[in-house]
Amino acid sequence: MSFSAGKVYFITDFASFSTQGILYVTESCYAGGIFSPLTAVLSVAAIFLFKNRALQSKLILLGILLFLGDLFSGLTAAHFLNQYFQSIGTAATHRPETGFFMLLPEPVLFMMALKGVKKDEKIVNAYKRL
Amino acid sequence: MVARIQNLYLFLAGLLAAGSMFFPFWSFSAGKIYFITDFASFSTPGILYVTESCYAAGIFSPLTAILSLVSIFLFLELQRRQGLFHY
Repeated sequence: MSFSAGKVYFITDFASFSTQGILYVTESCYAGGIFSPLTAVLSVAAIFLFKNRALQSKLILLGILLFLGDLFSGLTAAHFLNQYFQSIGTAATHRPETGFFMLLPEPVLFMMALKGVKKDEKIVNAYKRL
Repeated sequence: MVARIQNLYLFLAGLLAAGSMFFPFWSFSAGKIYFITDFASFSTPGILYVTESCYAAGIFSPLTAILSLVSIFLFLELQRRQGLFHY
């Protein structure tokens, strides 16, 4: 557990940093703010596409790409904010927060879902052959 | 449709993606940070029981580790092993 006595800056979806000299941080946060809900909507939409397994598989792969976009936009924001603090000579400590750890299981879940869809496809094809 | 395992995975992924919007991704702290660790010492006046609690945690952590390791080697004495876990 840690306690901070100074100012704490959070990188979240749609966070805005208006200080001069901060490059790409706000843009990256906005990108993250677009990728996160898109991933959520896509995942839920893929559930209802159970009749079209080819499209469902494609949507799951797109979900993995969106996850990567979400992750990299957050990391980009963190990188540029870190560079900004270094350039102004402020000793700032940084660490990943809950949002980062919530993203990490997503690709595993997507891969397992993809495996499930492929298994269904195999069963259907086996029935068709009969 | 409901009984497919991939639906659960997709629902969980969607839930995590939506949930991640409401939590910070990364944090930067420009001030002094105080860490609570085993054997940490806080000498500022007015801080009550913090150092004592950290020292207590510093005793409990290695004790738990030792006890877990000891119990591995007591595989022949099942009853004593079960008794160790009760502590």
